[in-house]
Amino acid sequence: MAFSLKKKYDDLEQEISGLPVGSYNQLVFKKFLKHKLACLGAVILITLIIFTFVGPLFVETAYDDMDFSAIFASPLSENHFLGTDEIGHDVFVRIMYGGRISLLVGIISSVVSTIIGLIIGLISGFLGGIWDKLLMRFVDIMLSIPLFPVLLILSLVFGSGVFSIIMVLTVFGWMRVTRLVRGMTLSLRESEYVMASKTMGQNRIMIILKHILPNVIPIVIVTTTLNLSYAILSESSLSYLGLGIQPPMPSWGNMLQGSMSYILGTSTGHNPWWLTFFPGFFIFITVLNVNFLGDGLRDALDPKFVSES
Amino acid sequence: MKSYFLKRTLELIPIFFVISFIIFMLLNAMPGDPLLQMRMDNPRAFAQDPERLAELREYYRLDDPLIVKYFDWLKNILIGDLGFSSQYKIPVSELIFSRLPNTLLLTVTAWIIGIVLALPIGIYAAVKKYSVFDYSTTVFAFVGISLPSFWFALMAIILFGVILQWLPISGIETYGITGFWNVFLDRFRHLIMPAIVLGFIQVAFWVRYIRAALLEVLDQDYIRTAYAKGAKERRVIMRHALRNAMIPIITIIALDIPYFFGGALIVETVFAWPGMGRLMYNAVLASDYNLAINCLMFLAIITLLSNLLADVLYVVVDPRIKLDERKRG
Amino acid sequence: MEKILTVKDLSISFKTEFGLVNPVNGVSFDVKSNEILGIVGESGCGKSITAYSIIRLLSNNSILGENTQITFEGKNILNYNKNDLARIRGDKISMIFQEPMTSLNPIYTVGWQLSEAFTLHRDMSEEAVKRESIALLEKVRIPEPEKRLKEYPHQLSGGMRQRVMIAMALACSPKLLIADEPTTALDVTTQAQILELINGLKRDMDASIIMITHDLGVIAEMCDRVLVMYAGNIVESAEVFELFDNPKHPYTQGLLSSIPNVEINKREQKRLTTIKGFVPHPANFPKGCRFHPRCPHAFERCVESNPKLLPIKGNLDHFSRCWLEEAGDHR
Repeated sequence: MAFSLKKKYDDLEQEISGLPVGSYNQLVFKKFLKHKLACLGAVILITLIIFTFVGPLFVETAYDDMDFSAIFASPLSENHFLGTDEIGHDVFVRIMYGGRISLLVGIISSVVSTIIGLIIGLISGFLGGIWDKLLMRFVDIMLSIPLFPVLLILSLVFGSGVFSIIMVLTVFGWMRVTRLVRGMTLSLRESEYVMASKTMGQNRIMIILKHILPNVIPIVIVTTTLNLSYAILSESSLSYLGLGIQPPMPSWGNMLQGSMSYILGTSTGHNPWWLTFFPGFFIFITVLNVNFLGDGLRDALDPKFVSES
Repeated sequence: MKSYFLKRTLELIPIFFVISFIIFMLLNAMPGDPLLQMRMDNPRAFAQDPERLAELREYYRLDDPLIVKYFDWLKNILIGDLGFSSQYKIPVSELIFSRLPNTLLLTVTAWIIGIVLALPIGIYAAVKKYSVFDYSTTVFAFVGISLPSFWFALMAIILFGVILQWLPISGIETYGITGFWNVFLDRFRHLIMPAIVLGFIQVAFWVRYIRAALLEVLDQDYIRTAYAKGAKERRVIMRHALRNAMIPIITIIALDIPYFFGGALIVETVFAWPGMGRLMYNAVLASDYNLAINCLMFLAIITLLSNLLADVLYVVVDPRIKLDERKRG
Repeated sequence: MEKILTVKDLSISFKTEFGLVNPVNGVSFDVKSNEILGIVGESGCGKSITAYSIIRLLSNNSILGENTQITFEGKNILNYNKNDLARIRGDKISMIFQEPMTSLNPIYTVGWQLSEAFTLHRDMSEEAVKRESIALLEKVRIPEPEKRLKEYPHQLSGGMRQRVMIAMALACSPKLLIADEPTTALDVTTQAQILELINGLKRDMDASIIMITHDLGVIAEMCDRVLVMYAGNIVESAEVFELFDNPKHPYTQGLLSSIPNVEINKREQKRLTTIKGFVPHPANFPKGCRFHPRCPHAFERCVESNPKLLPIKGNLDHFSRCWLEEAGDHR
């Protein structure tokens, strides 16, 4: 039987849990800690960031160093923890450097998208009117067009390389944030304390900054994590297709591009599965943990809010 | 009902203009001068003489104002003249329509796989909330939405194509096979991996949504009423809960149709499946702007149609919207 | 009069993230045939859960007490499996709920939902079902019943929906109707109409009713006997007139004196009193008598242990859970 009086007792649980009535941030933090997968996600992500950004400082090999004595070395061979590729590049080192790029691109583009989306959403939602409605209809339809083909075309326009990819991802990345922010702004605009502020003569920008923005931040944070996971996946897909980060600069995606030639095996009969497995695996793990993190953040920040993506 | 449908269709028209204009602007933003492009393709036919070039510019109306160019372009598209592909040197429309059936085969199969798997799993996870099955489903869903589709495809190829050698690793068919059943089996073996890869990731998205939709319905008061009337659990879930949950579920499934086409792009490329997605990708690689943009245009139209479909389905499925009578007291 | 329902030592616990919570404890009562039993109390006292537990409409994380017994028409319905329960629900025991706006399924017609009430328990032809449905709708005084059958819940007002709920509940002529605050969500005029309807139906159908409410006015109008609940316990139980004339438990006294009395003679006018303090949460019930923190007459014994529900002096039919009774202090 699935019917429940659970709602009544959810409120109850908060009362009897014995938590000190702390500040909002404290409560959020504590709630986040309860979400085991999210905490795991956070830990793993931090580890990954350290690994990719700090790791290379401790390694002597460069990402384009070629070790001709050990081509197609399998993982766990000496000097090459995760193996090497066809010209002796060390996979482990390339994963570290590649991770830098992939993470950097992902983080920058999602943060920039969020900022743009936030500003546009706040303004549009607050001012309302016909422009707002048109913008939303436009955003709605644009959001339903499958993004990846659009990214392909955009990469034609912007070219390849780190900066271009960030541009490509940002051009449409702001829309999801805008829709959510605008929706919240719209409802908050009618709330009583905003009305009160208006009557007291508070100017509009201050109202937005002081009243609406703080309430919007939680879902913006959650959406940013979603954007981040999508950005990392998109960048790696684009790089895999040869349209993103170009070799020799490694990115997890273009490492997979390189491995494609050897899927059926090398001319000497090796099957260098590690060239295909590891880069993709790292993409997968990163995105997975970003998703865990995002889920935990969503639960912690506003359990009643369902962020529809 | 008919008027609602008409209204929705009419609403799409201005949106269509906006989107096609944006796409047109993208086309214009492509680096390179079209005349130079044409000359590169066909150097002998094009003189180096600047007067001749100017004449050609006028002939092709390259210096007309943007808005004129736009309407001209749009007009051509609507009458089916999509221009030529610089890569293949044949009309774009021919290319697109020859590849379209392959993409449809792939996406429809993946879509069916997606629904057939996601619905029962999502429903069961919601009904047996917090059970082991439910938690496994959640983990599975996370894994599914985090998997890079191309990596998943590559790993599948390595496992099933290279190591186990059960399935072919590319293409849509093997040449030289005869006999109905052999051909059918061959086609099936080629189809199965790409379709599952494409469908699997969608299952992950859908399962979460279906579970959430059903859970929300199960929390409603009228479900309690149904139990109080003496309905058994199976009936309550199937007749009372599911029917209500289907409203948002059907809309999401219809709205996701464009994403299948988008995801197909990557899957087709990895599996060398001769569909529209791969066509578009090759066009981008070869800077075949015309072909690439037209593929995008096609996708945009499919998106608009899916939105329309979702709107119509929503009305069909939810009786609250169908009838517009005043509330009687 | 025979008892159709006997509840003994009902105790309900919920498994929550923070441990076991026990919102209802030691509740025992009977319902005789053809009587209306009222259960009154503030929000959170456990009256709704008590009612739900009779037909086990509780969530999966609920546990009933070891010594709990629920007997209906002589049979122990606690032992019933899901199928048996489904058989008596809607047929022998029906329930109507507080929120008519959301208690009907929005995507099925009124006719469909009504017919379900029949077809789940009776073998009837389509025309018979239709005939009976129209008859039921007439009984609950819904105008143009034939038209209504084809309508959807969102086309009906709150009062109408509640009538439809009542109709559904009465379809199979149940022996016991449990009404969980059926009029709370309705406006006063509709409330009066619905109550009148229920009263009339009880006369016609020879059913017993458990009426759950927080409104003493409803109790006064409808009920034969009353149970007063507080913090998961029954604190007082008596026939309705006896309760209003002679309330023994300080909580009941507090409730009654907090009703503004319009008719009272100017000389007898008193200040409107309130009961100080708040209703405790089930996980935080006070030790000892659960009402003692708010009771104006509390003394040492009240802090030590929770009194038992015992008859008061001079009336074996009137029970009170209060140490004052034992102490011989009649207030």
